[in-house]
Amino acid sequence: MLPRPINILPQQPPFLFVDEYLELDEEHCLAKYTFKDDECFFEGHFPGNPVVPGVILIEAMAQAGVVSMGIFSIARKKNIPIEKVKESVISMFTHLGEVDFLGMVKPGDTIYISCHKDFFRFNKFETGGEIYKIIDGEKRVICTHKNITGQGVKLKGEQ
Amino acid sequence: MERSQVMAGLKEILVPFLGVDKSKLDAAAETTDINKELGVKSTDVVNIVLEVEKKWDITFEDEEIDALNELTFKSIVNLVMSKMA
Repeated sequence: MLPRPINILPQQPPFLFVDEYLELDEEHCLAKYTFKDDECFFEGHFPGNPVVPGVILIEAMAQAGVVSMGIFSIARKKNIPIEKVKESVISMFTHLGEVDFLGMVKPGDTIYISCHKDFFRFNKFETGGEIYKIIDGEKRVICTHKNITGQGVKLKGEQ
Repeated sequence: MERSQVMAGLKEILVPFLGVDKSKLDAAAETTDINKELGVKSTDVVNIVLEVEKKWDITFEDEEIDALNELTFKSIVNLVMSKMA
C-alpha cells in the first residue's frame, strides 16, 4: 500500500500540494492534488479572478517528483521505513530547468502530477515530467518540466 | 598517478565552482578546505564528484562521499588515489 503524502513529505499544509499517490516507486511518480477554494494564495492571485500561481505548480512537481521519489529511493536504498527518512534528511531545491506552462488551474481543479527519474546518486535527484488535468475524459497538459533537481541534505547529528 | 597530478586535475575541475578569486585556488595546499576556504557550495559537491569520476574514469559509492568528513584537497586526493590503486 502506498504511503500518504502528508506522512512522508516534510512540506505540510498549507504548503503541501500532493493529496494522494496513485503510483510511486524509484523510477516514477503519479500523484494528484485538488486545489481548495480557500487556498491562501487565491486572495491575492488574483483578486476576483483566482488562478493557481505557476510557482505553486512548480512546487507541486517538486514535491511529487524529487522529494517524494527521493525519499522513497533513500528508504529503499537504506532499507528503512519511508516515514523515517525525513527525520534524517531534508530536501533542498537546487536547480530548475526548462518549464513550460500551457494552461491554467483554478480553484476546485484536480491536477495529476507525473514525474520520472532522470538521475539519482549521492542524494541528488533529478526529474522530468508534467502536470495535467482530465477534462471530459481527455488529458489536458498544464505544464511540463525538463529538469527539477533536489539535494537531500543530512540533518545535524545524523551519521 | 602522482598526488601532485591529481591535485592539479582537481584544481582544474574546481575553477567553475569557486566562490573566491582564482588566485586562492592557485595558492591552495592539501590542507585547504574547498567549501570553507574556496567558497565551493555544498550543493555543487555532487557535480564536482561527477566531474572527478569522468576525468579519471572511476566510480564512487554514496557511502564513500558521505564519509568525507572534511572537504580538503587531502581527503579528496586520498579518495581518488584509493580508486586508482
